[in-house]
Amino acid sequence: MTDNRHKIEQVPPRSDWRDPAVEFRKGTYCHSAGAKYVEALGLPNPRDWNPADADWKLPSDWKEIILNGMAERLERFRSFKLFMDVCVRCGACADKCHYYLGSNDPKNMPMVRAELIRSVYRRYFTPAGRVFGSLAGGRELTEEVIKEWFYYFYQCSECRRCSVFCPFGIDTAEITMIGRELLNLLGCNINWITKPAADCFRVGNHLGIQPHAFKDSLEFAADELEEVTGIRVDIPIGKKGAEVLFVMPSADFFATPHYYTLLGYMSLFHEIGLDFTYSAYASEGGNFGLFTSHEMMKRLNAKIYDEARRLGVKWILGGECGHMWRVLHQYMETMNGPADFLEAPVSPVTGTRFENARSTSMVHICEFTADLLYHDKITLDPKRNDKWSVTYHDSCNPARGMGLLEEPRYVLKRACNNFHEMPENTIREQTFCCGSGSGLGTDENLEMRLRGGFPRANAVRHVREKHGVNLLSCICAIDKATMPTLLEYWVPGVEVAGVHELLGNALVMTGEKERTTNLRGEPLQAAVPETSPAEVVHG
Amino acid sequence: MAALVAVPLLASAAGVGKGILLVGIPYAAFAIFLGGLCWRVVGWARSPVPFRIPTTCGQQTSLPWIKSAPLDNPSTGLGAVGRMALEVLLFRSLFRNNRAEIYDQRYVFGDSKWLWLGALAFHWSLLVILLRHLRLFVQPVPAFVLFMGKVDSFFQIGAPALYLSNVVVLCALAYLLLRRLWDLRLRYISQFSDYFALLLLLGTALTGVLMRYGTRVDVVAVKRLAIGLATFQPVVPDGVGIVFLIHLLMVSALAAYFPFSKLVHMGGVFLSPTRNLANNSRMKRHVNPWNYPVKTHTYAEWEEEFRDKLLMAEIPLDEAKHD
Amino acid sequence: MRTEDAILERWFARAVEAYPGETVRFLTAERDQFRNPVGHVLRENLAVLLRELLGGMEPSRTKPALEAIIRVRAVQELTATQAVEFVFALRSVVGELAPEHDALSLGRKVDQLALMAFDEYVRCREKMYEIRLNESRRALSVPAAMARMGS
Repeated sequence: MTDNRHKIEQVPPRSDWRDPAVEFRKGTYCHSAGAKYVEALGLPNPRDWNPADADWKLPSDWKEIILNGMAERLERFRSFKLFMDVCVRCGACADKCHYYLGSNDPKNMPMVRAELIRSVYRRYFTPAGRVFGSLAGGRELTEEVIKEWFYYFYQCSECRRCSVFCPFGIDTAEITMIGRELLNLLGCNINWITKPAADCFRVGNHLGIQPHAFKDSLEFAADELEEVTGIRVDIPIGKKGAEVLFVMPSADFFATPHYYTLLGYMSLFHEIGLDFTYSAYASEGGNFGLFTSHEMMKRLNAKIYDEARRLGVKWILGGECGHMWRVLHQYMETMNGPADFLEAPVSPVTGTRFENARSTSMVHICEFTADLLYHDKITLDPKRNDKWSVTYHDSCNPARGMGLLEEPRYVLKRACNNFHEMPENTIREQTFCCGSGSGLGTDENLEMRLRGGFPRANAVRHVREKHGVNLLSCICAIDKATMPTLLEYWVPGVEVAGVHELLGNALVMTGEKERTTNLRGEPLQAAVPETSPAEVVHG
Repeated sequence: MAALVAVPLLASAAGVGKGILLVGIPYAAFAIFLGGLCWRVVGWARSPVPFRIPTTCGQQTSLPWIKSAPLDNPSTGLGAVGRMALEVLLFRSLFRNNRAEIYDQRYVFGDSKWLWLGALAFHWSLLVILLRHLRLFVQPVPAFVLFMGKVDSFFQIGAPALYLSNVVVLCALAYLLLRRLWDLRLRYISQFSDYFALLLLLGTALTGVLMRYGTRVDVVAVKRLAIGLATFQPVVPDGVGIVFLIHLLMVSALAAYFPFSKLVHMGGVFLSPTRNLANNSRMKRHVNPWNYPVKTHTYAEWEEEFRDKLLMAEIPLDEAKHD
Repeated sequence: MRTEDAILERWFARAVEAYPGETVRFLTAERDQFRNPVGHVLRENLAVLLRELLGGMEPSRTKPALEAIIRVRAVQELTATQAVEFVFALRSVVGELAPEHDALSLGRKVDQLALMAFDEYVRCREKMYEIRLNESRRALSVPAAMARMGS
């Protein structure tokens, strides 16, 4: 008897990373961007095409475009130039990528991902590579290589985890960003990024929700909140002279569980009597330009300062969102500043001056709330969150592009009685990505996302088994959209919530009615006793 | 008759050949090294740093009562210098390579520091060895070099006394090479240049060790050559021996290869924008020298497009632009 | 090494054969639960399955262990065959390392487990459609709720 007859199809072991051939298998790549969205943004080579097709309808001078594009970016970005040169292939990053850990595809090792473009750089831009070719690690630029770039640069969520461990700080996110810019020059965009970017550019937010519908959503949220708390909150939109402009990711007003976080913000602003305004023009904090190109990032981000200037606010408050905060923290003022028409942010309740945001004049809601709590300006009843045993997932961008680690934890520990951290090497600056960041959270890409999210889910499973955790809190709109899916597959029974949803649950509001439900409209206590950790299925 | 002519000719040719080997090649290699390294560093430095993009590896400086991580996430220039120092001197990022193994319900950390240890051992011992070589180039030998030699041979094993740095550098190089061959993942990503650099270093180190503990060389002759080279008054001494010659050629090859290979990471690490910048982008505006105007969708255009909807929803229009 | 440990090692090796060569060693050598989640899940649960196969095949222990392994393999770049193949591999592993074992009874259990594995594989793939649907519902839940309320 032999087992070999079952080995019908072996995965061919890739002997050499230089072989660019990739198979576009359904479930592991994103749809190409529709021509009309590419056109709406004025990006090159709008056309209808499919990554699985043999002919990608590239412009005839595609090679020249790429090489010129590389030359230009080598001159503009020291990061790019340096990262092309200094990798020693020590391997420290190899097992740090969640896509590699979940997929076991060796080209997902960060240094190999970078090597895909680095090899072309060597061949065309270094003396050694021009002379010695592949002996010096160079590789010819072919259409196959373009396809390979597309496959693997849309398999990197720009989470920067590898960069933490690299002895030279080589940041694959930076390389992926440049790689995608180059692909965009040929019109190789993905729809899940380009369509929201186009809608955001024209209408104001990713879903293209128009001003009147935007207002309706907020009014609807106010109705819901009134049902839970008995309190009617104001919905100021485009209010000139307000002290603060509030900007959130648009998912907060059209998707769940984001929406409950919006109810949390609303309760908080009402309770402290904040003089603020929403904006229908800048109704998107998220910025899919970050996943397109530096230029697109700037084009979409410009609205926030423009609107702040028009409304005459003193400073800007930003909601819970990951990549939005990478842009706000590391790019906004450089791109669209100086923000000299704004003031250094001062909390009207505590008088705290946010020195860390004095120039950009934009404060993260977790910084703002932590300050309120520290000065005991709001009252919380953490018992209202007792049905939850909570853990916290650090979103990549606030963790590794900002360092916002303790503020949300401070809020959580005050708002919840049961809080448990995941293991050390999976949180804070070492946090694992949800696997869907940087515009990859689309449903046709689900299989790849499940692979990429497995290391994170594995750590969640650990705290579920150990502490009976049933809620994962986070401060990222993409997490809130995709983590429930991830956990439903890998760790059923763990739900996802924003930090300010939990705050909103616990917040004791002046004049509120006795609360019987949380912001989700669910009874405050679990109906049946929670399964004890021992009974949770092991595996 | 012919022999009478040929012998002096051959001898002078040999003299010229020796001159090229002992003087010409080292000078050329060193010139390529210096020129090449400057070219690389200037090349990097000429590309600007348009955005402030440090990888933050700890708590930011925000509210005064929250303890920040001044070295892993510096908010000041001084902190960034400290971070770089940790990175360059102690390989901080490689050290982070930890793991959590679970034995009997508790975490055990550590055990994943081999790469860090190997890299640190190699680089530091290489530095010690380079500095020790100063005793050949400078007369009188500086006190710190003598002192370093004493410390390095502290255990007084054998005669001449064994330098610890020699043992360490060989072990570390062997580890780095074996690891590349042994670990399938690393073998997958390793390129010709990775092995070439390691073998060159290993060869240089081995010939050096051989000269000290095996085939003795005429140190006086070598020193004459070295001082001659250093003072630009080159002399071509006799009797330096074949092992020395190989050693010298390998060092020359290494120096000339250096700027065109991954070995330039030595210079590059100082310029890395994810490490050498303070995370203070919201405190102080970072300027991008090539920041150019872009096409945006202005408020006026937007209001024009959605005027009806705005009016319907009673969202205030911009009075400045509206009568 | 006890025979069972040897069997487990060999079985594990057979189960990771489906992966690209470079990855095999990583999956095998890296023991950290969080740095090598795929290898960890495989190792932990193969151990459970082996105990059960050599013992009483208690469903309450067998099923979750099998599920955990299949759940990972169902989303990876493996065909259905490759995803469940490791179950059959046990027969020859035991045959080589413990020939004294009752091949007939083991063979029956392996067959049973293989059938369960196929079921589980299909369930995982179905689950993916379900969660995909749920995700798209959540993505537009507010407009949908507003429509329901006639807002």
